[in-house]
Amino acid sequence: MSKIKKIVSTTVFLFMVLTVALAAEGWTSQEVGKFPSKYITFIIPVRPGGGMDMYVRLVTPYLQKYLPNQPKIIIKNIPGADKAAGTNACLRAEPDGHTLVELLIPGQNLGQMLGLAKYDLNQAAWIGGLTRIPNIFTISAKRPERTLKELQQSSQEATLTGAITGLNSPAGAGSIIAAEVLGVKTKFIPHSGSAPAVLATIRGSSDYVVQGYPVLKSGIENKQLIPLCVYSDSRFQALPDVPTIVELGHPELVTPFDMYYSVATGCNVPKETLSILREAFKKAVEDPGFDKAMKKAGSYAFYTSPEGMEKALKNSNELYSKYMNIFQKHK
Amino acid sequence: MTAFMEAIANVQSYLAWPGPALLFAGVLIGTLFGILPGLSGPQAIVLLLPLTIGLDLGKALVLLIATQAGTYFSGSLTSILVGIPGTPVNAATILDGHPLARQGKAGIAIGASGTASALGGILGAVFLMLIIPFAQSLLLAFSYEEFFALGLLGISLISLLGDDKVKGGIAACAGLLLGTIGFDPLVTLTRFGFGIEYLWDGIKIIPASIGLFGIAEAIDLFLQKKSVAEVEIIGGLKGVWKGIVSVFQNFSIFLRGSLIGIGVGIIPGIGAAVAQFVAYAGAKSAAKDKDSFGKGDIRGVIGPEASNNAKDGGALVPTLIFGIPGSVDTAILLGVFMIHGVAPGLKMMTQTPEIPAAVIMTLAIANVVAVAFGLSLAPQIIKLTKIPGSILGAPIMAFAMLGAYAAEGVYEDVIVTFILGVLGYYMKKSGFSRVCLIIGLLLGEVVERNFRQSFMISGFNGFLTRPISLFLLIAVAVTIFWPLLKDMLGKGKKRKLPAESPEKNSYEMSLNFLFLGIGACFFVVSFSYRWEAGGLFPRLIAAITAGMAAFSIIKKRRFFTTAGPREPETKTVDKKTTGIQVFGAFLWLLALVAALGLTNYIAAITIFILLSLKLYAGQNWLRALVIAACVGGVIFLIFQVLLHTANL
Repeated sequence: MSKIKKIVSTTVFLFMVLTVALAAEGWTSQEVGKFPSKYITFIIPVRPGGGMDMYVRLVTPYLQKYLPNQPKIIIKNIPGADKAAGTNACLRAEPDGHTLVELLIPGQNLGQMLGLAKYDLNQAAWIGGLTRIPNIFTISAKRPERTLKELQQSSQEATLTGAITGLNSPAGAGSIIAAEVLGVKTKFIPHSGSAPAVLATIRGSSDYVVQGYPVLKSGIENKQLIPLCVYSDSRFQALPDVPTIVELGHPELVTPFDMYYSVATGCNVPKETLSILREAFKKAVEDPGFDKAMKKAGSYAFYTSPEGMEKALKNSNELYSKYMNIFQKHK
Repeated sequence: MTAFMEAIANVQSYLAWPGPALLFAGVLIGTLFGILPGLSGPQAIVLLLPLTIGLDLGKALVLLIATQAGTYFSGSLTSILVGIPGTPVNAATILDGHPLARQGKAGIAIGASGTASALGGILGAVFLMLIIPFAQSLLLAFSYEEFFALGLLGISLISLLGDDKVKGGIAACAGLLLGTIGFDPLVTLTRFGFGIEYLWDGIKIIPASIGLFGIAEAIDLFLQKKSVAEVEIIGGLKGVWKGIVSVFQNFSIFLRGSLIGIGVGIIPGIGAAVAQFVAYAGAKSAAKDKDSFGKGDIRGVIGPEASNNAKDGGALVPTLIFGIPGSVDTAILLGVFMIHGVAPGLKMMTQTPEIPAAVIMTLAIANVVAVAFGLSLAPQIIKLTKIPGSILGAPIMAFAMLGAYAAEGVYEDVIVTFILGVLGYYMKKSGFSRVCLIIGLLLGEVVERNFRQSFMISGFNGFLTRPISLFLLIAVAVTIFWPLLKDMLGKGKKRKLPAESPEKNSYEMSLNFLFLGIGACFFVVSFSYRWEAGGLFPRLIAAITAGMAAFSIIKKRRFFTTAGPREPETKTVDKKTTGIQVFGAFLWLLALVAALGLTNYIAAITIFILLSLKLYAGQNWLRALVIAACVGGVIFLIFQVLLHTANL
């Protein structure tokens, strides 16, 4: 009898504990209804720190402001497998629009094309782009050249070294394309991130580096790095005296370096929900407060529509396809 | 320099009210995060980031730096009291801190840890202030060749520190091999991933440190009926005071640890987890009597704890001078600077010197406040060591697993923690150095990456033509060959080695075979990668691992008689547990691993603790339920409500 009592009491206790735990789980989610019906999870697929992380943190209060009922937005860094963990966490989430992810285009698409990244960007529905950051071609101040033409000539006499990051980053893939197009003979030295690549160029271990402005800013300001050109179709406001690659006669080199920090969700999210998200996101990016915050952080707000993001992805896919043979050699 | 000193004097505006309140709040939050395994500085400061956007830069820095400082010392409390690393940078503290707690000397360990942390933090801040005028040239003097040589020196120093250099070498090489799992450091290639996406990122530091160091202690505790402190506790403030005094009695160890921390911190991308182990090795190598290390030597606490706080001063150098982060923490801090419209770099140092001055002052003050706060709690929290192990063991095992899980919300981290926990337990029992394994794991990528980068630019010439690199490589050669030369010349001390039990011998033999198998497996698989693109390093290390393991097996079988005379076996304080009991404990832990994967994590942990307390500890249902519900409630509040931890 006492044995039965023990078994019964054990079972009751276990059920009680399970009930408490499951109730606790349910406590955090709210009833399903009109969008947004609960908090929104905004995934950053990289570790905290750096541009990708910062831009999401800056836009989030404005996105919250323009979404109906101002839902709580939880920012989660889910790094891993070269952005695949975070990207898939969104693309495979419940298609209700409550999970968003930040994507970097071009770059992430090349990872997919080369079979290096296990996600499918065709499963993404674009919400829009929040900024476009141009890449800057800089050389070590220890080099004598001060123009791109001089550097092109020098590279014919002795092969240069270029510090690059991963192949599936805009700067990494772009640098390889640019060296080919510009005829700059280069031996590329891969680095584990943009910071070590820039530091290697400052100390002269590498001759040049191409990166986004934020990571180069200190080196340029302190004259340790010399900017030779901006990979953009218009002059960069922080470096008004530096020519663009279009002015130097190579407009085809804008696309590989034109970095769109964009936001997406799963492609099966209902159209009405997508419309709400897109409208709120557009208002958030165009809010003067967001632009002010971005400028303070050394960047600027630049809204790109979902259609614009589709086009940017298509353009960079086409461009990357042309250079697949070269990429395979560097893979 | 004068301008900078003036800036220090002008820093009041940054530290004015509500600065002190923010500093204390940061310390409190950091302390909580440091105590909980798996949560550490980066998670704490990320949580506070939204708040800092509304604050001015000075206040934001005060809050974040204080939070960071709070995690280090409180992390050491967990390491000392329960043997699980509170943060990855406190793992080395377990080695001697936890044995001290078992001897009833937790107060002494905490006092020493706190004092070394506070003084180390201050020394790091002073160094940062002094180095600023020369930092640029210093940083630029180190290139790929020097980083390679430094990494190699760290590995060789640590692996050759123990009595059995072959076992140290095997463990370090096994660590280096495990470090090659995942993305190749230079080309777009994943190595030894075996088609598993999780392995792309390699073996991460949090599951590795919790598994190798924490699980072994937790299993021991779980199986013993006695409390953590097996003898009477040296109580209250008396013990803490003894610990404080011990730092001044071993000031050279403290100084060495601090300098190692600063030196490692200044190198971008290496981090505090390495600093603590190098500092531990530094403390041990400096000691004339090394035998007490690992058994509760206060010097083994002072060195690592001084280093992990001092390294912040070093890590801020590349951030402040070049605007380039040296670690995840400094990357987040850099983001805060940028959000507030300030770009760290030489321009900031000259135009707004009060900003770096505020950073330095905050770093120094926050370290002192964090330690004072932690030490004031010490007399109460050391009472935790009086709780019987059978009661404390299950919650500790659960928190260890949760810590591994919560760090990034990835379930596979729990599996890796379990596997490395089993490995760590048997390494501990058979005298294989876990420190060597983890240092190999941490430094392997640094060594390989810098070697290949240098080789790509200048072949072998680079290593031999750069003076600092050449000097460091000579130091590596001396480290490796001097002990052998001493033995050959007959100058080496013939110490009596302790007798080894049959159980230890059998564990050792099994591990030798395991490492032989791992080496052989990696050697074969490494041929699927071109030697110039990621194949050479693992092939070389795998061959050395397998070769050394084979040598060790043959040596154990007494074909060789290199061992010195042995002392009779002494009884250790540890309660002997049978192999079956250990196997049962691991099976029980495996059930928790499975439950975490199959069900809600709060339910899994609550039920695990409930059943452990009832079945293993013999508690009545009511008491077991109350304890389990309390732990479940705390976990729910922290991880679900406060942190919204990803994917759990």
